[in-house]
Amino acid sequence: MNSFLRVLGYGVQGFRRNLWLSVIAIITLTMTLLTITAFTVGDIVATKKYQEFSQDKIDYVVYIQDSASDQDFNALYDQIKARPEVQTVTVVSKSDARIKFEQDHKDQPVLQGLITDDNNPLPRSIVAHFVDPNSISVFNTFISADRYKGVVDSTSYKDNATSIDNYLHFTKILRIFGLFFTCFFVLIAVLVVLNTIRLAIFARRTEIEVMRLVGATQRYIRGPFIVEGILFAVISTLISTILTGIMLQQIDNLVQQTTVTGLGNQIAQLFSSTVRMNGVSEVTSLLLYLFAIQLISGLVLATMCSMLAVRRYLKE
Amino acid sequence: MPEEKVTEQPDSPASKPGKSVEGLTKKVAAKVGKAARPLFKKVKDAMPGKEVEPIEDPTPLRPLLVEFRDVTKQYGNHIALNNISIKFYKGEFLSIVGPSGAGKSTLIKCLTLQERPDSGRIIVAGRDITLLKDRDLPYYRRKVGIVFQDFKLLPAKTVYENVAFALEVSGTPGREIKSRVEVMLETVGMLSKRNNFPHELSGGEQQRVVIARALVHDPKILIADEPTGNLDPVNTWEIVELLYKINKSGTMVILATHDREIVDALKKRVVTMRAGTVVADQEKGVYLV
Repeated sequence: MNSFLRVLGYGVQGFRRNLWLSVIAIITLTMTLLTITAFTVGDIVATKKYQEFSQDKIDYVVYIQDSASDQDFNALYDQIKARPEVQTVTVVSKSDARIKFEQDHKDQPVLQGLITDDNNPLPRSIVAHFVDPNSISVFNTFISADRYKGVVDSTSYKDNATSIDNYLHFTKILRIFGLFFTCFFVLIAVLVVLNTIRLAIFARRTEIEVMRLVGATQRYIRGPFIVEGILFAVISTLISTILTGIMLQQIDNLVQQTTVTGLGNQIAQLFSSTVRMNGVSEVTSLLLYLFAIQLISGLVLATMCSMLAVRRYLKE
Repeated sequence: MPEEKVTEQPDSPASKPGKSVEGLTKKVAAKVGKAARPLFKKVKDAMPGKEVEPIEDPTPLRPLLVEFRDVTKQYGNHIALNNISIKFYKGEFLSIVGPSGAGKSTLIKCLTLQERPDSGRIIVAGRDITLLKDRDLPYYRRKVGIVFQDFKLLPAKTVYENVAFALEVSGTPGREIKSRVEVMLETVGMLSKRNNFPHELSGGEQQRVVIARALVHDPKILIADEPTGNLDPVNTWEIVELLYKINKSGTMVILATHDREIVDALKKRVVTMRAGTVVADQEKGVYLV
């Protein structure tokens, strides 16, 4: 315990007495964490937008035969709702279908009033929205089963299968590319941190040599540098989190405003589903999540870099 | 060459009156007495390395402390130590002299295990240190005090902290560290500058702090590798006087130096090296090179 406290003390002392080196390391690490945060937020925004588009564009409409009984209809509805890949299920009655038809064709007066409640060929339908749009083909297999042939007239997937598959394939490629892009820039940032800490320890190599020659074990030599690395990580995380919080709060304010135009409006639209869910602010939970990522990244980065940098000077 | 009896010269610079190191050493013992005795016993028992039988029985008057047996060290094609065999005895003061490249620093680096010999054995206090593993080196280095030409103080620590560090890394309790460090700084005349940093001290003052750090473990051997190389003449003689007094208190001192005046004034054992070999070994020697 005594030696642990001493190592801790040496680390804090080294941090304070090599203040300029510490400041440079903290600035570099903060910028790296902000880079990681920016790409993490970007990934979250992209995922949310992808889900939004997918839910708007990729839903599965099951058109019900007019001859199907209410009992069969309700049974099919319950089974669809119980499917794990289905997020929400909406029922569109014949009357709702007529109203939607008239709204979709409001520019064509000749079609208005063509369909009435007594003469409505439009089928009732069940609309399924998915948790992951990629599971649409699995759902299609389920609906295509023989036991539903007496209830199901047709589905929207039959007409749009190719374009849906192409869309999903394209977005998958886009996400892989985005992930590669993110990893590339994060790697650059990590290398910058590694180099900064290596230079800081290089500047103190004589100190390490002296510690070896007066009989300090590797624990007493390496330990304080690891403690300093932890201090760099914690301080950098706090600074990065504060800056991120300010930025997210500003974006949340933009999203809440209804009169924003131009760039502000575009930013608000881009981040709306990220910072708000069902009208409730998600900034705090998002910030906590980002804080955890930053802290873990910072601790791993700073301590590993310190250990690697000191290691070469410990060899006899 | 007949063995000359070692006597102190009354007119030598080293015999000038000054602080009694023996008196202060007793003070150290008095302050830390009970705690120190078990520590010294532990130090003796904890000397790392395999015990080796000496080739000849040491005489009771001059117990053998360090022995180089057929030690060779080579850097590429350059032979720095060429089959050196030499013995150093407990409590003696010896100077190692020679031109640049003679092997003085290599000899000292092998003794402190900053370098490992390519062949041969080095026996210290009955233990073959060439067999020590890297993880045992810190424990050996705590038994040997080293004074460097370039001081090698920790720049971000004060005078007090530099000396205390040598004890802290060995797990010495805080209260004992405080008393030992203060006495040691008083011995070398640096107690009033305990809160200064190395860059705030002169060369002579820094070297005093280094000596204090080297002695704080109460080592049996104090090795000084060109300790006055960066000092002016006044500071040089102060340091030499300090080393002489340390030797009088019982610590063996090995001094590697280029300085003819120091060697001739000390009239102690002089080992002369040239081209990696020992060419002369005089009991009350002079600078021959």
